[in-house]
Amino acid sequence: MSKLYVFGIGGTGARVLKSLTFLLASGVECNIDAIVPIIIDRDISNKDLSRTKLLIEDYVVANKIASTKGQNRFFKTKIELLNNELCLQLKSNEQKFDDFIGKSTMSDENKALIEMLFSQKTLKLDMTEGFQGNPNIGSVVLNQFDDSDVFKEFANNFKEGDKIFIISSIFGGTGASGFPLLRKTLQTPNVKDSEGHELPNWGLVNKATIGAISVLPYFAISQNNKDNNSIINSDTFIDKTKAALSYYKTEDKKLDYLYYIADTFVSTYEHNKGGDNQKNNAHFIELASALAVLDFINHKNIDGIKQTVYKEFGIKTNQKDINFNDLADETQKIIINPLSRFLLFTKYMGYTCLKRNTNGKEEIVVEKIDKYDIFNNEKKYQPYARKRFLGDFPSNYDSIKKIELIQIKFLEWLYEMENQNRSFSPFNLTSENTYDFIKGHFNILKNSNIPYKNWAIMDNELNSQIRKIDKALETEKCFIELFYRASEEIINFKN
Amino acid sequence: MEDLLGNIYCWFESLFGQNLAEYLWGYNCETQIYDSKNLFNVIGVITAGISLAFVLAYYYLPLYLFNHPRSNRWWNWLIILLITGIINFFIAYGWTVNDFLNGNIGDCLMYTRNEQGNIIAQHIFRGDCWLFGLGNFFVSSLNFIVWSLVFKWWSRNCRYSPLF
Repeated sequence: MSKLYVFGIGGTGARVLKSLTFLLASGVECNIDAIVPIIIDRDISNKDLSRTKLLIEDYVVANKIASTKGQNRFFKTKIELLNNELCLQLKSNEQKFDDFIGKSTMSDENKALIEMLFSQKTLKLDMTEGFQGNPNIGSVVLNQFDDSDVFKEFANNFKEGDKIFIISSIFGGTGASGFPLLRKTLQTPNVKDSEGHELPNWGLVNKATIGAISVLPYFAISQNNKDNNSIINSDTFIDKTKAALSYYKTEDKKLDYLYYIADTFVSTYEHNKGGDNQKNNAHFIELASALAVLDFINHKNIDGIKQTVYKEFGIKTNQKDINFNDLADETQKIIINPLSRFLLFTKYMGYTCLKRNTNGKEEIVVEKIDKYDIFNNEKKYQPYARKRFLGDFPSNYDSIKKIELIQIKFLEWLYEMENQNRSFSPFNLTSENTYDFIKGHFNILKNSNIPYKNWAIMDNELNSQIRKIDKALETEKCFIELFYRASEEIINFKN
Repeated sequence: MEDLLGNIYCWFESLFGQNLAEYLWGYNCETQIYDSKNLFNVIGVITAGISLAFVLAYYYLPLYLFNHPRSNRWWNWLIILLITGIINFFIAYGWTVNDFLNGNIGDCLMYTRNEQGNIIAQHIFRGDCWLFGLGNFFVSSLNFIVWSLVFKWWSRNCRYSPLF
C-alpha cells in the first residue's frame, strides 16, 4: 500500500489541496492508495486554510462509505491525516520576527548586522499572519519543520514506495521560502528532532521519489490597499519570481519532477494580511496545479529517475474564458467525466447557484432548492429508493450529510473559478436542465435521443443500476455506488 | 375450462341480462342447444389480449406514459387501466350491438311471442349492449390487475406501481 505525502505550503498550497480534494471527490483516476496532506503555514487562522481543512475533514468522513468493492469512484481515494491534523504546527510561537531571532539578547555587533540585513518594518513584522510576502523571513522561521509532531508522525509512517509532493507558490513568503527548505530537510541524512533522536524511516524519506509544483504569479494584489500598511506589493512578484527561479536552478537533479505553472491573465485580489479575511477565490491555476499532483502519481516510470523532469501545463486555446473545449485532450480525458458526473449528482440532490440580492448587491449563493431537489421529490416514487432511501434518509446519515456539504462547496468552487479574470466555466451552473448544464461542442450525454426528458434520464438510470448492486451493501454505500454507476452510464465522454 | 371466461362474465350478468348472456354462450334457437360460437370466449380473449398488451407496454415500453420514471405513480397505472377498460368497453359494445342490429341474435332470445306470433315482450335492448360493454370494462380491469401482478416485477421504472 503506497501513499503520497502532499505538502501544501502557504495559502496557494492550501488552495491547490482544496482543488485536489474536489478532483478526488469527483473520482479522478488516482493510482495511489492514500493521499496524506500536510499544510505548512504559519498563519493557521487564514480562511483559505480553514476552508481546505473543513473540506478535507468532510472528505475523510465521506470516504468511509466510498469503498464499496464496486465501481464507485466518488471519494474513492483515501485521504489520511497525520495525528488527525492537517497542519504542521511550528513549535515557536513568537509573534515578531525580531523576537524569533532573539534580537534583544544579541550583542551590539550582531544587532547591527541584523539591522543591516532586515528593515525595521521586517523586524517588527507580526508573523502570526504569515510572512507577508517575505521569503527571507520565511526561510529563517520555517527552518524547524523537523521538530513538529506532524513531521515526526510523517517520518514514523513513511514506508518503502511512498512518494512526496510539494506544492508552493514562488512569489509569496511562505511558499517561496518553505519549498527549498523542505526539500533540503527531506534529503538531509540522519535528521534529528530537538531531543536528539533520529527520525524513524529517514533513510526511506531520503531516497523517496519527490515531485513539486512551483506556482508562478497568477494573481495581483489590489492597489487600493497599498496604503493599508501592507508590505505586499504585487509589482514585486515578477522580480521575486526571477530571484527564486535563479535559486531553484540549484535544485536541479534534486527532485524527480518539477512542475511550473503560471498565467498571463492575472486576477486581482484585495489584500488581507491573513487570518479570517484571507480568503482568495478558487482559480483555474489551482485546479491545473492539482492536476500536476495526479500526473505525478499516475506517471508510470516514476521510480528510479536520475534527472529532474520539468513539466509545464498548457491549454489548447489561450482565451480569457475557457471551458472543456479549450483544454488539451489529455486534460479533457482526466477531468471531463469526473467533474461532470459529480455535478450531475450535485444538481440531482437539489443544489444550485442562485442570484440573490443582498443589501442592494447581487451575489450568487449556493443553496438547496426544494423544487430542484429531484432526490427528495422523486424518492417516494422511484424503485431505486424503495426500502433504502426513504424516511429520514439522508438526514440521519452523517456521511451523506458530509457529501452534501462537499457538494455545496464544489458548486462554490466552480462558481469562484468562473468569476476569475481567467474564467474557467465548463458548466452552466444556473441551468437546471440535464442536457445543457455542460458547455462545449461535444455530445457528453450518452443516448441523448432516448425519451427521458431532463432528470427522468437520471431516475431511469438509477432504477436500472440498482438491480446490479449487491443487495447486502449498507445503505450509505449503496447510495454512493448507485449514484456513481448512474452518472457514469449517462456521462461517458471519450476523446 | 372453456367456460371459464363465460363464468367470469356471468358475475356481471345482472347488468346485461340473462338472454344476452345466453346468446353470448352460443345458444341456438333453432337447435335449442349451445352449438353456436361462444362469444364470451372470443370477446374475453380479445379483452385479455388488449389488457396484456397495455400492461406490457406500461411496464416495459420506454415511452412517456409507459415504463417511464415520471409514469410510475399509482394514478398513471390507473389511467392506463381506464384507457384499456374503455377500449374493451367499446369492443364488447360494438360486437354485441352489431349482432343486435343485424338480427344475429336468435328470436327466442330476443322476444316472447304469443300464439299468433306477435311480440308480447322484448328481452334484449340496445341498452343491454352498453351494459355488456360495462361488464367487459370490469373484466378488462380484472385482467389488467392480474397481468400487472404477474408482469410488474421486472419493470425498470414501474415495478412498484400501483402498489409496493
